[in-house]
Amino acid sequence: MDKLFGLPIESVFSVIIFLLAGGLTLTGIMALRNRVLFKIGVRNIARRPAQTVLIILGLMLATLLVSATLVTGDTIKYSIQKTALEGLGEVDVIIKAENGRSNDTAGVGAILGTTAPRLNPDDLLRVESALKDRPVDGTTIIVRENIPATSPKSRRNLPGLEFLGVRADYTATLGDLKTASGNSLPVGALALDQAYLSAEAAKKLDVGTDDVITLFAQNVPVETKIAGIFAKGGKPSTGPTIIVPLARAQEMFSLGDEFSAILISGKGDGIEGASKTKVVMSALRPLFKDTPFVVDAVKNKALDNAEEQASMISSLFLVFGQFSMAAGIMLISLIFVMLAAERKVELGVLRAIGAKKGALVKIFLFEGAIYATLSAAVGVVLGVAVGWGMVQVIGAIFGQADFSPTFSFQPRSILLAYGIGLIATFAVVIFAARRAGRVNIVRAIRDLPEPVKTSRGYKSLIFLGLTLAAGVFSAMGGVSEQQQGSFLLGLSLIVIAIPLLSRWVRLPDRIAFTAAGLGLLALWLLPDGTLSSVIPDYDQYSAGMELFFLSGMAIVTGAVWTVMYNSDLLLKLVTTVFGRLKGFPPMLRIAVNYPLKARVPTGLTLAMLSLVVFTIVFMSILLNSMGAVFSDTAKLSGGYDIQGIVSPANPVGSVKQVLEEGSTDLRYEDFAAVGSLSITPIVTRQHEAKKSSWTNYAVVGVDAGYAKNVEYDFLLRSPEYATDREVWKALIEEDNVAIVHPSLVPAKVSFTAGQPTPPFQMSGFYRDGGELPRTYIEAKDPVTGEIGKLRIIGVLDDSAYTLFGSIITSHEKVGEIVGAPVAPSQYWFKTAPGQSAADAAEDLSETFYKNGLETVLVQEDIAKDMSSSLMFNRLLEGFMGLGLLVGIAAMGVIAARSIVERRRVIGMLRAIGFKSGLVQRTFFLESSFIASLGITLGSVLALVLCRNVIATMANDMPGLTYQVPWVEVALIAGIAYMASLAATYLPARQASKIMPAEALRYE
Amino acid sequence: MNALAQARRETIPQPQGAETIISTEELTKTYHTGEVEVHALRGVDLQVARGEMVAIMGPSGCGKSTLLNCLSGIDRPTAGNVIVEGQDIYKLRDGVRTDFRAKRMGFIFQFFNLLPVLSAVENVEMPLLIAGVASGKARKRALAELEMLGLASQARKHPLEMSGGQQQRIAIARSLVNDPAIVWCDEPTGNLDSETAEEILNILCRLQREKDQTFIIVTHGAEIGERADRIVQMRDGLIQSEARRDING
Repeated sequence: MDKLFGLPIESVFSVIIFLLAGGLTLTGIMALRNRVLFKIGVRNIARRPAQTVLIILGLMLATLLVSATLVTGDTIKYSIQKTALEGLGEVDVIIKAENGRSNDTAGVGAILGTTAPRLNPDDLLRVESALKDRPVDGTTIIVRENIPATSPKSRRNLPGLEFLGVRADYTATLGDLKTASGNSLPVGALALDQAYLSAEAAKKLDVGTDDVITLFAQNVPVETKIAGIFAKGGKPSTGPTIIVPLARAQEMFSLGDEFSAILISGKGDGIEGASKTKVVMSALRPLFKDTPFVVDAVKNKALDNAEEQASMISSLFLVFGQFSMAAGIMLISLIFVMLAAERKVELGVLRAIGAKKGALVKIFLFEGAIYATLSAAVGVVLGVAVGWGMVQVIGAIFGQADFSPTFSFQPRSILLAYGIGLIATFAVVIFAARRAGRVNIVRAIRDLPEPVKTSRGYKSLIFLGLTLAAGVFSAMGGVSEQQQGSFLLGLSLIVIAIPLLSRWVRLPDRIAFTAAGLGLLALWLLPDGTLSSVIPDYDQYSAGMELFFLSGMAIVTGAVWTVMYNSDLLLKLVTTVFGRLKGFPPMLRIAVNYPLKARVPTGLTLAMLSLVVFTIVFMSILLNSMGAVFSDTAKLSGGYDIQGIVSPANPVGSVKQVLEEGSTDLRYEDFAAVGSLSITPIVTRQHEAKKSSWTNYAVVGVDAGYAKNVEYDFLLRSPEYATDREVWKALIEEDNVAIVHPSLVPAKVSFTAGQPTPPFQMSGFYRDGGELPRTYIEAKDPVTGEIGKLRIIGVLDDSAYTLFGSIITSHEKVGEIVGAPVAPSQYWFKTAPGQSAADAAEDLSETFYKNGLETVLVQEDIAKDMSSSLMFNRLLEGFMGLGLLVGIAAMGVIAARSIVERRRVIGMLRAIGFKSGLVQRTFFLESSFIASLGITLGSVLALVLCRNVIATMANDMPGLTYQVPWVEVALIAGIAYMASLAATYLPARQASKIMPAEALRYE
Repeated sequence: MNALAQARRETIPQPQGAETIISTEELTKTYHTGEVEVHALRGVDLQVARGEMVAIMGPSGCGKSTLLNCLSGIDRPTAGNVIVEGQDIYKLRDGVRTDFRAKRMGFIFQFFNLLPVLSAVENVEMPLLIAGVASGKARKRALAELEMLGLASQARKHPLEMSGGQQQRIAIARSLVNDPAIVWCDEPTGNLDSETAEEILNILCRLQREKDQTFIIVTHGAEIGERADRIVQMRDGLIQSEARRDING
């Protein structure tokens, strides 16, 4: 990971280590200088081991979440790096023809085929000479193509086989090829008509050693004998691969002594070799300046890519975990508020016998520091365990996609998680210690309740004044930068500060906090479009995932304030509804009155519980609503049933003709639609757009058959086209027009996180802006430099799943740009009514056997993708669910605290007739009341906010509707409720066992 | 003669014809604090007649609060038995004994022990609600009790908004609202100034006379002793002496 909380991780790490070292050193010095106070502070830890364990478990939850996130990020990074390194072998740098896929870091897959400019032996000599005295292990050359292959024996096809022609020194440079049993397969031992096949290719073609397969080179079938199957070793590519002698490859593709690429391995293995890249690059770049060739640092790119993907996934967990972390920090506060209350008598006595305030602060600080140190350590260890669990789930989800994560973490991440956890806890300890030091001796010794504070001191006034100023500043910044997040944060601070400041002009607390609470709720729960109708150009304001966090925090704060400051109304309601139930009145009086009168602990607990429930329910509704859109595989497939993939090196020609002449019963009439699609590397940029630079990309060409029948709709159309169908028609019939996938166009309001962003991005308009201005892109042939200008006449909607990230025009236009007709690499078939897609796909494979056509059942394939995506989302939901532990722990803490605080009350109640069972039930009822309130608040807020969010998202995603999974929501609420009660069980039981005389003697 | 025998010899029998409401025999209570044994009661015999006001006095640590706790059924003695209204209360199950307390006993504590989150009237009606009296009826009786103690105007206030004297009067109202046979008072004036203490004492004496209730008062205050029917003087877990007030002056 290179970023954490949006900041460079190195900087975060340095700051954390500095704070950690500084904090620990200072505390250590203080402890040494105040040994007696230190002993008084820490003796409580050993005195009550059970309580210590509970406190540590409660405090460690925030650390656990950070640790789990960082460990998952490390694992993803390591696993992607590992896959990339396996794919590249020892190759660090490749010299190859410049192409549109240099971002493909999978290895030699980025080398253009034989239609591209080729390198010659002179180039190799120049390279070898330049690399003399440089840290290089070896240099070799290869011919690379992507060709179809078939097995006459099994009649299986493989349309995209990585074809590598290599020299005998190949293995010396890149490592041995090895069989599954570990035997070496020397390239020099291959006869001209022999090849080594990768295990994956052998499986797909269902062939083994000594079998003969047919390779198609320039449409000419070439029989090749399999001399061995390699499972590991120096294979510089991913995917199914065949390795033949270089001379054979040059012969098959009529290359003479030319070749596709030069591969260079830096000194040392794997990552070490990549570290030498800079030196190698500096020696080679001048050689290939102003040529059609590039010197590509493939391994460094692969490592960067791994870093980027790991960072993306970690950020995703951080974004969705931040509510739980916020709740975790609230829990830390609650625990220390409780501890301070519990130590009140002891601290009062110490003050009475002469201890100064500073001494009390130190005593509390020492105790808190020990808890913080221990809890952060436990949190880190358990976080690693949770991270391991998440990695197992990710492995199960993506196992089908050939990505199996290997559990791994960096010591830096552990130290970082520990530091963050410890510092967060310690910050709360310092705050709580300062408060604990301000005890009133008499009240503390007699354990009398503190008088209600009005918080109208000058410090509060200054704080609220600053809050107001910050609000105005942030709101104005939001307006000038056109950012919803900054604007709404500013408004929220203003909405909070104004009523609370009004208390200095005698506005009662109740009205002030209620006004602030309701103001926050109104601001954030306004229906979609309300602010647009009031704020000029508001619909041009951008927004991102930060809104999710801000909105959650704001509405939960608003709701909790409103409830806590109007608790008498709630109390009346509850006692009216349940007060008539037999046996309830005495329990109800205590169970409802106590929590509602204890605003701080109850408010914190309510906030934690409702925040956590809010996030889970919100996520659940969002996933359900989006799932409904993405489960419509018929729509996502664009109406096509079968995708046929062929190699452009072995094109089909006329589909109709092949079908008519085919050996199966399949006829052209069995399809309602047939279309073709080509993918051609180009270099592109947006015409006359700021910040748009030439980007290596690919353009998709379609034929009339595809455009006429595809059923994808548009988010935006040029105004001259009345319908979506007219846009598709124009794509074929009009010159120089193109359409784009929405992933290439920015959104004003984007709630997506973790989705890949294509490297080419347009600007100047928004996909959810409602209008498509006159916009052009330029497409340049990377070989000839020929530039074509294309006007964008439509932006597809998100359902165009199979065209993700594409710029789409006609085959003819692509041909004009690259100066030659382009061959389709995909055929799309829509079966006629009554035809089975699966049967048709099988027949197509058979019919197009010679073209190596590989068929994919589109809807089935999309469903598989969606299932992985859904499982990953569920994992995220589960990760957010970890926050529930925080809420549950809070319930346990508040129950335990109530018992300590109300010991004498319990004694009195037992004396005047409360049976022990009634005491237990009363505490259960109290927890039940808080849990129900928190769960209801969280659920209702999620239901309302999600409705608004989905209404906004629907502008960008037609078809998205608000769909509540009621059973799931009920299940979440039920689990949260039962778990909360379970957390109260032990404290309640303990309360019921308090002997009245003992409790009363306590005084 | 040992102290125990001396104490027994000095026990004053209750007046003839009076019904015994509380009686104990060989009441012993030992606390274990770590390895230390504390003998709080060392074999106390006591009889109290219905309607009697008994002041239990003695120095701190003599066992008077422990005696009150054991007599009232909130602390199980180590040995001996406690008969209240003919029931050996420690032979009753905890739930039944608790019910017995709810219906037949009232408690007044030094620090009032009111529920701070409830209003005065809600505090007073709590014993009735525990005893299963309907909410409406309980409220009426609680208000009547407060009226009798001159606190009707304070009924909606919360304890922390009241003076110590007012809080103790609320506690008295709470202890009497279920019309108990016995009222246990542990230092009822210990947390009050002398004027308020006198006022509270007057109330207790008036109630005892009017309702014929039995009051057992643990106290350090000589003025309570002066107004009680009997003073039980304790020392080192034993009744050292008993003295009956001379009603003829």
